[in-house]
Amino acid sequence: MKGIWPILALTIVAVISGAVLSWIWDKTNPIITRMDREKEEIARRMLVVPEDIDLSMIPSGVYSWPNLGVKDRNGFESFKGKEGVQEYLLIWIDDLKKVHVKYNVPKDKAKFIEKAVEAINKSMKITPQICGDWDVYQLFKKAISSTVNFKKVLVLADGTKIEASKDGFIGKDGQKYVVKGDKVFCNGKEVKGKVYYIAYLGGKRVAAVFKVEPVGYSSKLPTLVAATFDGTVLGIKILSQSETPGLGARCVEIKEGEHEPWFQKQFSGLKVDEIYLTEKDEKPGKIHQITASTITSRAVTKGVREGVQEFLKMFGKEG
Amino acid sequence: MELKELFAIFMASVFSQNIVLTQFLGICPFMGVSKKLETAVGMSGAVLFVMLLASIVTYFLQYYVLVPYGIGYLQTVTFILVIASLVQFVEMVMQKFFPALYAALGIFLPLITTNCAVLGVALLNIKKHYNFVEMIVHTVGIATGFALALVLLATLRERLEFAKIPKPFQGLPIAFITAGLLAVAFMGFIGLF
Amino acid sequence: MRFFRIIWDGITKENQVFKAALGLCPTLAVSTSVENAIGMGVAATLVLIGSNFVVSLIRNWVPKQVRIPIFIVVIATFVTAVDLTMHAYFPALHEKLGIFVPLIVVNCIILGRAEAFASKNNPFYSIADGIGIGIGFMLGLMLLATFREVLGAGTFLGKSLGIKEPALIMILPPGAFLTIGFLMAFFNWAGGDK
Repeated sequence: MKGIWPILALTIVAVISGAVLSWIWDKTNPIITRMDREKEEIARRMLVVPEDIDLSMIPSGVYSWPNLGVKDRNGFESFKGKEGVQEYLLIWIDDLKKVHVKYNVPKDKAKFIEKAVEAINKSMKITPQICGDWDVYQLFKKAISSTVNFKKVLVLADGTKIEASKDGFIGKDGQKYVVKGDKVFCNGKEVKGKVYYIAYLGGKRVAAVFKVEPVGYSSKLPTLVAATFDGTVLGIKILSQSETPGLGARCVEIKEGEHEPWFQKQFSGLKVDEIYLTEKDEKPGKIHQITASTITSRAVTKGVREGVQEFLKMFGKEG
Repeated sequence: MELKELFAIFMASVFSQNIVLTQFLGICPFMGVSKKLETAVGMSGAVLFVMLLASIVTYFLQYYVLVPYGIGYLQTVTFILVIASLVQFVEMVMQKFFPALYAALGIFLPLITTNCAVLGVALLNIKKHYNFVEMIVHTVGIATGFALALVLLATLRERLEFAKIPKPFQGLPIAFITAGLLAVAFMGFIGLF
Repeated sequence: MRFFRIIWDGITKENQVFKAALGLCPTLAVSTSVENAIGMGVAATLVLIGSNFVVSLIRNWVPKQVRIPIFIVVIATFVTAVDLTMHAYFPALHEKLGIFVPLIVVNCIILGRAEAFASKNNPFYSIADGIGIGIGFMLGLMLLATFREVLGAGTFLGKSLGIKEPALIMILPPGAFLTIGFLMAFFNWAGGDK
C-alpha cells in the first residue's frame, strides 16, 4: 500500500484535473468556436465591400446579416435592400440618442448619420469622408456587406473545381468532400484542397476571398485575403496571431487616430508583383515591414503573395 | 526535407531566436548557474538531454494521443506532468546506472523541472507545426542556443568578479545588464536566417 | 489581522520580482506594454490564488515523493482554466498575451509559493498569500512595463506621450534585461544599508 499510494494520489489528482478541465472546455469551446466563425464570416464580408460604397449596388430583396446564433444589437436578422439599409440606420439613430442621454456621448454621431441618410436619398456615393465618422461609415459597410452573396468553390490540388451544392461539395463522380476547418477530407482521407469564397455583390461577381496560413515567428497567422479576378488585393485581415508582444504582434496594431491596422492596410490595391517588402526581400515591393519583426512581416507578405498567385493560377483564365 | 531549411531552422534557433536572450525562457537557471563556467557547462548538458527527451515524448503525446482524442486542452497539464516525471525518472536511472554522470549533472536535474525553456520548447515545437526531423533539429538548436548564452554569460561573470562594480550593481543587477548587452549582440543575427 | 498582514507582506517584503528575482520569464516577455503587464498580472494572480488554495487544502495527504508533480498538475489545471476562460470571454486580451499564458505554469513564483507557503499554512492564509504575491508581481511587472513602454514606444497605456523618436531598443528583448538590471540596482541602493 505504501508504495502504491504516491502513484495513486497522483492519478487521482490528474483525473480530477482532467474532469474539471473537460467541464470548462465544454463551456468555453462553443463560445470560442462561434466567435472564430463569426469573426471570420464578418471579416470575409467586410473585405469585399469597396471603399466607396455605391448604394445602387444594393438590389432590392431581403438580405440577412450573418446570423450565427447571436442577433446583433438591435435584434436585426434581415432587412430589405436599399430601403432596409435606411430603415436600419434610422433605428440606429434612435438608439444612439438614447445612449447619449444615458452616457452623455457627443451628439455628433447622430448628425453624421442624418447626413449619411441624406446622402442615400440623393444617391451619392458613401465614403468615409462623407460620413465624417468612422462608426457611421462602418455601419454602412456592414449594411452593404450583408447583401454580399458567397458561392463556395472547392479547388482541389489538380485544379478541379467543385461548387458547393445543398448537400455540400459533390465531385463529378459523386464523391463527397467534407471541409473541416482548414482541412478537406474525401472518404475519410485527407486531400489537398482549398475553399474559395466567390463574392457576388448586386448580382455581379466582384472578388474572391480565401484563407492563407503563413507561419510567423511564434505562431500561425491565419489571414483572409480578398482579391479581384485580375489579381488586385482588396484587403487582408489577420484573423489571429500570437506573435511577440510589442514586435510581431504589431501586425494587428491600430495606430492612434486610425481605424485599421496600418500593416494590413498596406496590402489594399496591390498587384502580385508589388507584394514584397520594401527591403530585405527577393525584390523591392511596397510593404513596409514592422520594425525589428522581419520574420512576421515577411511571413504575411509571402503568404498573401503566394495565395494570390495560386488563386490566379486557378481562376485567372476566367478573369 | 531540404537540408537548407533544416540548417535555417537550426541557425535561427541558436542565434536570432535564442531562447534566453530573445524569448526570455529559462531565465531562472540562466541567472542561477551562470556564476561559474563549470556549472554552466554542466547545466547546459543536462538541459540538452532533458529537452531532447521531453520534446520527443511530448511530440508523440501531442500527435498520437491529444489530437486523435480531441483533448488538446489537456496539453499544458500533460506536458508539464510528462516533463516532471521524466526528470525524476532520468534522475533515478542516472543515479543507479551512471553514477559518474549523475555526480556531474545530478544537482541540476531538479532545477530543470521548473525550467520554462523545456516546456517552452515542447509548446513551440507544436505551435510551429514541425515534423519529426524539424522538431529534433529545432530542439537541438534551442538547447545549443541556451548553452551558448549560458557559457557566454558565465565567462563574462567570472571576469566581472575582478571588476570594480558599484555596490548596488553587484550580483544580479550587473548580470542582467551584461545579459542585456549580450542580447544586443544577438539581435545582430535577426534577419540573417 | 493576519490576513491583511500576509497580503501586505506579499506586496512589499516578499515581492518576488525584485527581491527574489523569481518569475522572470513572463515578467520580461510581457513587459513591453503596461496593458499586457496588467493582463498578465491578473491572470497570474488568479492562478496563484487558486493553486495556493487547493494546495493548502490537500497539503496533509499529499505523499512527499510526488509532492512536486501533484502541485504542478494543480497549477497547470488552473492555468488552462484561466487560459480557456480568457479566450472565451476576453478574446482581445487573450490574443495579446498569446503564448505567455500557458507559460504561467512554469513561473517559478507559483510553484515556489505552493512549496514555501501553501503547503504549510491553512487555506485562508494561503489565499491571502496568493493575493499579496499576485499583486506584488503585477506591480513589479507594471513598473517594468512603464519604463519600457514610455522609453521604447513613447506611449503609456497606448496613449501617445508626444515623444518623437522613442528608443526602440527598450521594447526589444535587450531593453528588458537592461531595465530590470537598473531597477534592481536602484532597489538595492534605496534599501541598501538598513
